[in-house]
Amino acid sequence: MFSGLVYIEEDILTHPGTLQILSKLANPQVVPIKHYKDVFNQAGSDWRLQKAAQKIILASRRSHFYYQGSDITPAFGFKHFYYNTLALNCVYDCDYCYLQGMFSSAHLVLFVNNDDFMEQTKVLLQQLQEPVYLALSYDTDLLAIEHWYPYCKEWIAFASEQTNLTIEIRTKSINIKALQPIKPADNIILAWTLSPQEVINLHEPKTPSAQSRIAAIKKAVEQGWRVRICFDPILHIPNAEMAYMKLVDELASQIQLTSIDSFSLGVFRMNQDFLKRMQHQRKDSALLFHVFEKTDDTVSYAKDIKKKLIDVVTNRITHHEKRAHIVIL
Amino acid sequence: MRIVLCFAWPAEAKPWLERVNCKLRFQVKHVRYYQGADYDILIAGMGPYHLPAAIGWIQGLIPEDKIWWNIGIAGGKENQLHQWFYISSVTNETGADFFYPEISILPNMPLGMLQTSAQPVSKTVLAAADNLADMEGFAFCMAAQLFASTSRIQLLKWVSDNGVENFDKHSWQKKYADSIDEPLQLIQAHHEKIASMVVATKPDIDVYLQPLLDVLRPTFSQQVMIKDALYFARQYHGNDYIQKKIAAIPQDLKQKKEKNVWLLQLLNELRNV
Repeated sequence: MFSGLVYIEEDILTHPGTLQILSKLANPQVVPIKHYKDVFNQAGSDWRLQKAAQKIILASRRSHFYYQGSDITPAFGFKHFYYNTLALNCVYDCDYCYLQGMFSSAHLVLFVNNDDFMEQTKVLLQQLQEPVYLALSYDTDLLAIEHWYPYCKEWIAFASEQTNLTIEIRTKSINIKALQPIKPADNIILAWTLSPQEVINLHEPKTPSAQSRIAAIKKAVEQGWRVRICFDPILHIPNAEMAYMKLVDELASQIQLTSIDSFSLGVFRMNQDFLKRMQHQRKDSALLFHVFEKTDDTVSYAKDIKKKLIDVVTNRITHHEKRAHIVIL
Repeated sequence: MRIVLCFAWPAEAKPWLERVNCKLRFQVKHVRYYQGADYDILIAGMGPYHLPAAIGWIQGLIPEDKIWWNIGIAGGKENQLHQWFYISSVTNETGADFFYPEISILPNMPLGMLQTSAQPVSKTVLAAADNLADMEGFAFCMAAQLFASTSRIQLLKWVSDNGVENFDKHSWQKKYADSIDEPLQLIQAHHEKIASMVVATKPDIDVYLQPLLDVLRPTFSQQVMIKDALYFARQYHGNDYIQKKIAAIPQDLKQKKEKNVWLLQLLNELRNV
């Protein structure tokens, strides 16, 4: 990350959240902007080059403090499934990330008016009066940027005071230390995306190793957090079966699988327009050039490959723990 | 990928022409285009209308990819006199429209914000301005944006006038000419960064593709399928595997049906996991 240049909306130059983030960056050079979309949505941006020199854009969300989940995303049995966007884009650079196809910019937008998000979520809860599942980290990895702004801490504190709200913080980060002073609560789920080291080497640059993710999961479980493990996306790489079996074996050797709240399994799938954009931007990732099958607007592996990959992981989990709660997406 | 250094004023271009080795290639009235091995130079004339016209003209004559740099002098009340600035944002006279060049390297000079006006910048205007002021930058960006991504549209401005000290029409040129090493280094570093990204994101598969075109005579859509399969196989199977599969194809295939059978087999093998 090139931390030298930070774009900041003029209205929030002195916002406490802005000052907090700036205090964590080395020698920031501020470029005031009117609206984050002036930079973020600028035509003709070069996604890959921006990723190689990613910058931070500090902004204030004025509307759309939450969204209803799409059909591709898992609702985990909740009637009301929502996600919010406290940040846009991610510090990691996974080849399969749909954000490459969804946004025209790779820069990292951080919304500093976190209080407004929480206020609006309260309003939603009052309106619905039913349990809501809110995913906090779908278009980013919040735990990985917790050292810049304590989004996770603030939301965990907020959720602890709410009835009818379950929040999910999905991550690949090992920054579990950031959560250590906080008391775990039943309506907070820490969800780790776990991939074999072979997948990390090929397709998840900049992310922590499989070993260190397992170590972070172990710590979280020991501290009493509800933990979900997401084998998602499962990728059809050479020797995938062996790689995923080894990963589950390694996990089971470190952690009692009964202590895991649930396992969520899904193979690579993506909106076909996003995939086309990603294929246009980059020819360096084999996984984008796999032969896919299309269903409606979504592309994924052929049925037999999907089944084979899901079966391998499911069978290996149940081999270690028959009672494991497995959700297949 | 050509690097085109765009100037409004011949006096701004003069020391660059003397430094980089290039020769006059096209000229229409006062608009001149010089071409060299490493850099091209475009001199278009002052004001917001000449550079966009000249950029369109040159892009029509030489359609290949370019990195466009607008280089020249600017006024700056708040900026140090005789200092180069790497421009991070550009706005027009009204301050309502913006362009943000992609800054992808750590610059060896300060960043600056630029405001472009259609008229020469008077002392009064300069005294009220917070940003650097010129007459071409914004129009340059809008024109270049038709042909290049934001990472390939860049601006460097040298502060010739701060509205306090009198602008010396004669002595600035020597100071300006003596200072171009710094911007040249930045231009070179930027080019290397862009070039490395092109290599990283667009692996060269022509070495495999050409023999296949000769032997299998694929249609356009078959070529797309071959390319996608090569991108796939390159990372998952490696060069030796690909070369072995290509070498297995007989060189004397005559029938179209035969060629299609081999093509299908090759695609299956390249896409095999």
